[in-house]
Amino acid sequence: MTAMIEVRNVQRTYGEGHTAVHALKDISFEVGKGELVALVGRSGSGKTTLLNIIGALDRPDAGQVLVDGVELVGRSDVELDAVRRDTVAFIFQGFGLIPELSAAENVGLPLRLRGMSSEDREHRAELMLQLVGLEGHGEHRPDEMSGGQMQRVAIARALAGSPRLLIADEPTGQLDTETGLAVMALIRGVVEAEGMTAIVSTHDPVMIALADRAVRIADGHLIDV
Amino acid sequence: MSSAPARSRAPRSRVPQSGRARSQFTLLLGVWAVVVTCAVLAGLAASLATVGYDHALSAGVTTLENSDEAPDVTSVNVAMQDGEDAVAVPANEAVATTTRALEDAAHGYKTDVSIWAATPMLFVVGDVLRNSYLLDADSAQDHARLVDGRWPAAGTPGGATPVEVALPVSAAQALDVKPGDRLQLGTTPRLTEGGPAPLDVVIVGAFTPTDVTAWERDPLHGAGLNSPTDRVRAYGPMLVAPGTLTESTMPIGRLSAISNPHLDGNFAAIPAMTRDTQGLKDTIGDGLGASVKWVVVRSELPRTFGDIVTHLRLAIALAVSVLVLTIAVGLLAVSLVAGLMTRRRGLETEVLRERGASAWQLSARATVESAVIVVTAVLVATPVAVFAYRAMAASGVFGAQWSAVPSQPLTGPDVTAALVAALVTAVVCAGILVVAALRPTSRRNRAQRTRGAVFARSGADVMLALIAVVGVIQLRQHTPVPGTTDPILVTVPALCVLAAAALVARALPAVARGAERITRRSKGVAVPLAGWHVARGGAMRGGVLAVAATATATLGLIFVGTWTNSQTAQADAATGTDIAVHQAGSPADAAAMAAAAKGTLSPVFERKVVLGTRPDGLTLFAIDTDAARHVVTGRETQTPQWRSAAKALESAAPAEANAPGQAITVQQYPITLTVSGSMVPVTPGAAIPPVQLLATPTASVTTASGAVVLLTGAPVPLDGKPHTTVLAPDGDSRVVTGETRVDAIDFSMHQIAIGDIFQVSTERAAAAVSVTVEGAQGSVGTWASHGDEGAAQMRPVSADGAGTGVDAEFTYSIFGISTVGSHLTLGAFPAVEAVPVVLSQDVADELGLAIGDNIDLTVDYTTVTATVAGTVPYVPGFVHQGALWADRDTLYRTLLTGGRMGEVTDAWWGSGLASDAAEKLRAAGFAPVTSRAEQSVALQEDATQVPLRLAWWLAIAVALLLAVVGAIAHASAEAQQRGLTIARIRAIGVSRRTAYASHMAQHTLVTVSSIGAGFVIGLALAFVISPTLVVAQNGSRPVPPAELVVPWGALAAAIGLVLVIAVGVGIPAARAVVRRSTVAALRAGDVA
Repeated sequence: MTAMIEVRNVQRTYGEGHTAVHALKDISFEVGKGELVALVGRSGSGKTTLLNIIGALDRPDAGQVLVDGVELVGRSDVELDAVRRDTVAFIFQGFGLIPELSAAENVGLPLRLRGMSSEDREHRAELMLQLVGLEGHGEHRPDEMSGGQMQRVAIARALAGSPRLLIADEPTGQLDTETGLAVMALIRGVVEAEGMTAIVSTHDPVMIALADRAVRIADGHLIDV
Repeated sequence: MSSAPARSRAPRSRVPQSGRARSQFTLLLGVWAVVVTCAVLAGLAASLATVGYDHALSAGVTTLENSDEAPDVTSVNVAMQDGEDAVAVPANEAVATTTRALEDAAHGYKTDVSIWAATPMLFVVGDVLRNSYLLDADSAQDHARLVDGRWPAAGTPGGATPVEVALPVSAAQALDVKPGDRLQLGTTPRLTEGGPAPLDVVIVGAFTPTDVTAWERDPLHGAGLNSPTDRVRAYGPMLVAPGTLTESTMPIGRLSAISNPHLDGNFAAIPAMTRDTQGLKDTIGDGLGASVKWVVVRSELPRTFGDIVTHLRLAIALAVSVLVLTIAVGLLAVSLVAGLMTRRRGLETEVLRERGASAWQLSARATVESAVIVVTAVLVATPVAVFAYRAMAASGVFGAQWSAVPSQPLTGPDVTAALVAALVTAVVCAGILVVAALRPTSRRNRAQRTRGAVFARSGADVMLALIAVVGVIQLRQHTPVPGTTDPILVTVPALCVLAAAALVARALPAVARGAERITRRSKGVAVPLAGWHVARGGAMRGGVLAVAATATATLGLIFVGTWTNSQTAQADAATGTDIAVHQAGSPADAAAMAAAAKGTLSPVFERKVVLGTRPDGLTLFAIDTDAARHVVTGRETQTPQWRSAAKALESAAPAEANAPGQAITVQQYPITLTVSGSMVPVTPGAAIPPVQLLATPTASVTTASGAVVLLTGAPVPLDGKPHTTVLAPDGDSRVVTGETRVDAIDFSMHQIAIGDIFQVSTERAAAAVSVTVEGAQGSVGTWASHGDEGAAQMRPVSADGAGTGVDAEFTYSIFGISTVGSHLTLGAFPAVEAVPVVLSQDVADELGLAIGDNIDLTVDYTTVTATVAGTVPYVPGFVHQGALWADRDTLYRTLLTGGRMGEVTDAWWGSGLASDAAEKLRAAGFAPVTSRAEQSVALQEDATQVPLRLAWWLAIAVALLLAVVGAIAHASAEAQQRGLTIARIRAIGVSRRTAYASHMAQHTLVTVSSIGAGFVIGLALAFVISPTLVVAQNGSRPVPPAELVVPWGALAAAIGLVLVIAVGVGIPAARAVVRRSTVAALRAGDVA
């Protein structure tokens, strides 16, 4: 199976001198295409930093990161923007929705980046919202929705652009257990249905159980791949 | 996260206050700068109202003192009783009493008192009845030019040697005397045995008066002789050396005293001085006793000083109002910046609240910080305000009037006033900061607050707008009351700006939502995101300051343009023409004026006349209607009402002088008349009484320059034989050249008995007279005729044109004419019974007059019938006073028809002259000269208006600055607010460039729409209220009414500059927010 994600000897440090924080220390692992991998670790273990690097939101201090065979290290900001636009989609713990936009408008944002016409865009957004079970909620704004609904909108937005890699950083962190379970099941179902690769950071045992495998990270090191 | 238990004390902040301050230095600096700006403005307002008031008043008094009209002088004219029973008052006593009274009334001001004292009319001893008088005038030699001989030396009336006198050249010529000749003056025409000894005088010099205004104090006004139509010819003055009469015990007949106080800009005692001046009439009357016939005291100082104070108080009030408006806009800026600080510290405040901090504890923290800001701001703002005011006052940009007065030393009260004003304003700012600091910032509380705020706003801003509308209606209908500080004028502008800004703050988001529909359909991300944020994200809230500030600046710039234009228009209306020379002059003077001014001036009649029972006189202004088209200037002359009135006067004006049957003209000089006449029977067959008439002809002629000259000939007997008489001008410098029109011939008739007139059977006699103007052209068919209806009951019977002359018959009373003589006046034109006049509207309204109504005017003791031909809002040159306007030629002929021979030129008006015409005319000795350009400058540089101009320029500058501050605050707020959104869109693949474009798009949209809205509001407000804010110097509405003037160039430059800067300040904020680490922003957003 061709690897969707290849991480080789990646290091990332914040700060300098005695206050420097080594968030990632020589991380190496791979994720195959179509895999759903759970990235497990406690708060402060380096999960988010690793996901940000894989998702082209951050740059490692050393090492290599390949996403779908494309080396990210050494790329310009514009090239990394393209990666995030065309290849990768993020789901954040805090949902990451634009508060002034409705659910449909939030979902349609990535489609605007691809130059889609307004009719196609609105149709696709409607479809995505249907997919995540939010049919009829297109006009609602984030402050009119529950946490679970907002996370579903975030998922719909992430899927709207048909990404090849889905990165979710503690997607159920701000949800109750039942809602979180539903969201995780949705992610699982979408990944299987769309055939995309996904890496999800979590410390939720249910999600870990739903994943194809778990990668454990502690104190910047991978301890279990 | 579990909530901590409530505590009674606030937790200690882990970040020391000084550390917080260091980390938020830029923000705190911005807050402090805005507070300082508001405090400086308040200090400036206080300085304007205290030091500025005194400076302006002092400058106004200095200008008043230096003006040509000399309104600060007090003139006293005293006439003593004449007649046999009158008790003579010695000259030295009269002068001492009057001088003492004037000096006492000056209330401590050093004062110069000028005395012109004249004896009663005395007879020049001899066979012919002639009057003369002595004049002791301390300043006469300054206003006269010695033509022959020398000025008289001091003497003693009644002493061993004759009193030395100098005569005007005209009087000397008429009396046929020269230096060295001697005359005697007495109380009877001939010396009588045992009667009082005459006064011997010796003529030592002859002079020409050079300043007509100064010689108004002379009983004969410097003419040298009286009118030939007066009962007894009078010649004089016989000018003696100063002190000759005033230090003697000779009886005094007339006294003119002028007191000129040295105000030197010191206004402190002026109110007391004006009070004492108003009591001078009684003081002098009581001092001189029962011998006084009348005392007239004139002083323009109470009125002009009162006008200065009124105008200044109004200007100060308006200035303070403008600055208060600007401070209000500044407080908006404080509120905006405070909100920024609150959002920046929102997390920290919420954490403290959740950990149990009470509102009191939080407010104590905010109060301490605000107190530091207040104290430091006041410490800086107070000296800045004080010295900024002094620097502006000394800069010279406010014109010569203001700069003429040096700045006074700084005093404690001056500093205190500025300090108190700055402190109060800074404390208000501090209050805003404290209130803002306590505002909840959590999402739930923000939503509740927003709903609450909307509810409150929906009441407050609408109410404010309604009050502003009522204020505007009141303002437009309101007539300012001179002498008061009008509260409506003062409060309405600020009310309008704030109400408009509040309403726009509500309307702009709705407009933005309308724009959102357009952006939704567009492709891409940048514009739609910007549009959504503006429409839904509350970005327009940040535009309120820009709206209010731009509206203030726009209103200010337009007001300044309107005000400046109004001063020019008021100067136009007040002067009526480009240049006016307010002296009658002679034909020679007319030529000299034209040479000095490099253009033609037109003669003008402007004199007080009495209209019916109206107690105060009106001014009758008459100018040739042809000349009026070019000479009378001002906005009013372009209106249909004026044109209609001018047409009505033109149609009634006499035809051209050279039209057939309309005039008799002469090209040669001197003019010679051939006169013949005789007694005729009163009725056919009646006996002719044994009398003969002696006729002295005087012709009234109009010269080529338009001046009217009286030419008098020698008496001729009406004995049936023709007699020629050469007409010579009265006065010394009258030169008649060019084509001259003969307008009227007056005969002063005296009767000589050639038999026993008491044997006649009838008391009336008849006579015929024929007169021909030798060498004349033209002819007149029917002549106007007028007889003196006094004792002689002179009545014309016929007056028929005969070639270049006239044949007239008349009757008179034999016994009535014996003692005093009489006059027959023949006008070389068809009689003009009524002169058409155009009334100023106030006169027409006051007297209820309409077109076609007839009115009686008294012009120089002659009653003239006038017909109302039209009305105009005002007569240029005579605003703020009732006036009538007539065609000069028509008026002249109407006066001649009524038997009044005399000068009809009081001034000369001209337009289109050289730019330095006024100076050249003054240098040539003509005075006073008024110039429209000078008047316009004087009004614009009027010291009492400096506070208002200063306030508006400050308001404009600060408002423009605050508009930029608003843009900076908005950019900073948006950078804070949108940081997370930018990070989120970056996370989904939006490039930095697109994110930057989106941020700049929303900033530009908010800035441009806010400044644009402010410009439109300012423009609309200016249309509605700007002209009504302009007041005249006496506090009333200006004449003509102020017209809106929009200085598009200045507006475009100022608003354009602000737009560029305001949009530009968004660039660094946008760069900063876009360059911020996406990861860090996302992490911070997730925590929030």
